[in-house]
Amino acid sequence: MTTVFFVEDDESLQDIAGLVFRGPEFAVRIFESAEKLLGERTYPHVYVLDKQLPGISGLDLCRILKAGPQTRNIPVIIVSADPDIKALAAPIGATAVLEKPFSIHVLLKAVMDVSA
Amino acid sequence: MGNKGTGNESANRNEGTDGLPVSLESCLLDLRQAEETIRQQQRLLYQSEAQHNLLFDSLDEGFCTVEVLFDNADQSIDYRFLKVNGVFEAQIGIENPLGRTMREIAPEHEQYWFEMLGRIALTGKSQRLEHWANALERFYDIYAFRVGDPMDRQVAILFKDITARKRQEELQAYLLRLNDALRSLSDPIQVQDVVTHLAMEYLGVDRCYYCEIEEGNAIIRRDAFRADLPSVANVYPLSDFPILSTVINAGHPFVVFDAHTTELLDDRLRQLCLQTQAISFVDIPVIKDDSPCGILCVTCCEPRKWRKEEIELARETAERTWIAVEQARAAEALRESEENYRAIVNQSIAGILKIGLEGNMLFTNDQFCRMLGYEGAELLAMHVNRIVYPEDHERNAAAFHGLVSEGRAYEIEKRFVRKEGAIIWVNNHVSPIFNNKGEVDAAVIVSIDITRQKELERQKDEFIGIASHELKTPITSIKAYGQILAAMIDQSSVPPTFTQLLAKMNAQIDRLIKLIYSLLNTSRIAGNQLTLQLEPINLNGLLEEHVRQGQLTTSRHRITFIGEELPPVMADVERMGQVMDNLISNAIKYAPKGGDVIVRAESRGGRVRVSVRDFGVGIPKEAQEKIFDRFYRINDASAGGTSGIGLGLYICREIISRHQGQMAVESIPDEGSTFYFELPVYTERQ
Repeated sequence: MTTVFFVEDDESLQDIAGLVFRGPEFAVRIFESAEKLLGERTYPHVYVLDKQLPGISGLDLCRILKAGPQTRNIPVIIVSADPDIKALAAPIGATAVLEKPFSIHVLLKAVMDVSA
Repeated sequence: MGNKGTGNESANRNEGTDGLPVSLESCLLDLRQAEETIRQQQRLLYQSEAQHNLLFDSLDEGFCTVEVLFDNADQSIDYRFLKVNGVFEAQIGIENPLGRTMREIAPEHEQYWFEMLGRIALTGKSQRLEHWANALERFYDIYAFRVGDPMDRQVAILFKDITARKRQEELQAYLLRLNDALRSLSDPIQVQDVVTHLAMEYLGVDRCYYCEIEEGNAIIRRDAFRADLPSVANVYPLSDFPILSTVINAGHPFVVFDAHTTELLDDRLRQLCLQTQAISFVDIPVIKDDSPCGILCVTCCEPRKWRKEEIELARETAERTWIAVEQARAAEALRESEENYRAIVNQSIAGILKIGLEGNMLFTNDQFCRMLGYEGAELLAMHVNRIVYPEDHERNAAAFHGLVSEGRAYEIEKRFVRKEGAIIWVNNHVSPIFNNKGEVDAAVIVSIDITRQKELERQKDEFIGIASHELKTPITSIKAYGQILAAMIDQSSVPPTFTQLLAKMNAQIDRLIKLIYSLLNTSRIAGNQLTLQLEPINLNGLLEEHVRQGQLTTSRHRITFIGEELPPVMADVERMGQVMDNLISNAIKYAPKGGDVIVRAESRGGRVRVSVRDFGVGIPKEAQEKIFDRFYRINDASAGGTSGIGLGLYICREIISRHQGQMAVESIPDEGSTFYFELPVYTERQ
């Protein structure tokens, strides 16, 4: 089973995440902000971060995770509507990026690819 | 003197013989000899006299000898003509003067002459002078000197009639004065004022005025008149003033010596003249191109015998007045026209600038100065490059070169730098100014400040960017819900319509996503935010792949790829794919009846050329350049109700141009279109 921590402030995408990552292969936990996630003391197989978050941004959160001893080796997928997300995410150690709008198949594939 | 001397000598000799014893014969002999001597002397005298007479008669100057007559108080009162030469009569105009006195001939002869000749007769002091002789109505150049015994009071006068020369000189002096006075005048009324006063003074008349003839009226704007006379400045309908019509109809100077007696006037006109105290006058009509323009009138309240020269002078004055008035009018009209233009130019909301071919500024209007924050004089001392934003120099120079070499006008959007350093956006229409040889001499630039529009455009682009960006998250959700729903429906047993509708909905969601991408790309291009991931690639593979994908979307078209071995180009694979998808889908869309679509790649010199050819509706000539503009759509039903917001080709051309390439179209309506682009070949140096 793959555990996914999904950090997204948009309620509909939170809802989608719940629908996509269900079933026997996945366990998903939704966090509505970086701050909420940083208060968490358990760790997933994959982080999926929205770039644009209230407070600490997805990119900064990625930096923090990649600097944390417990989290630095956990893959991070950043999703964003920004067309330049690839260029922004690569230098801070993000494992993969998804540009919105993406299809659920792409999301699922990305999560499976990075957690394999 | 000679003959008298000789006479005395011989007398002395006779006296001398009286006291000596001489024979009769010798006396007779002496006498004969003496007689002979006298005859000889007389012959010589006659010869001398004849020579003198011949000399005097041959002179082209008048000559006379007069005896000056004095009264008891030794005042010279008259003179008698003793001798005159051949041209005397012609020069003086007096017949048979010999033996007669001047007072008899011309009682009104001025006292001056008598005094002068008296003085010469008494003092022997000769005199030379030029003087007017009233009684003779002539001007003379005179040299007078005493001759003979002073007791005889005889004076010889050598003289010449210089009336014509004098009058010519006076006329010249007057015309010179008139010209001098007129030269500085630019107001028609002032011209009339000056002319009439000068002419009145010179001719010694009582009134002088110039009528302008306009639309059946004689208009006197200014007149010169004797202090005790009223001005006649006014507007007179010609129909009420037959004298003016008469003058115009005469067509030449109309001269009246005495209104009381002249036969030139009928009774009605005569009465009119008498009423207005115009007793003698010269009226000069000015007629140009067969139509009367003006009349110069000089008038006296007394009869006057106008001399030919005076009439000529009035005619000359009238002519010059007309010219001066016309010139003043033309100058005034030009001034007014210039003022109009200046007002229009300076009140224009467009900045107007004239520059020389070297880029030196030659003229600026007020608005241009306001736009740039400089004073006009500052701008005129500057080169235009000092106000053009440095990054725009090159683009501007290329267009300007076309104007100079081919006389081609152009329009350009560029930036200027204001005096304080702020940057403004302008839209400039630049047109050539040709000299009379047809060469480009300068350029005029009409410049509109579009900084505000540019800012609004930027805000609009930013808005489109933000809006489309913000749409992405909900559209991601909608798409995901659709997909999830489709996945769930597949597993149940719902009516097939459900599945079909869901598929249609998902297709429309994809369409919406494409649209959002277009908008976002546009705003990124406008904001110069389009980033390219450039790498050296071979286009053949990319083209084949997109031809294959394109073919999947249509069954009515046959899409063919014709390639050849290509050198690599620097390109962003994704963006180039976007361009190809767009060109191929356009080819399909605008050939609604189906048919061939040919995609071709060729190597041409240092470039790779890719073309997409369809055999569809084609593009009208006037639309061929515009189709690459943002939001441009051909307004033509033949395009078959095709959808789109007019961004595809704009984005394609921008992507190609960011690759240092060019994109264009060749098309014939109803035969089809070929869109093509060229990219530079990649070399190691890059």
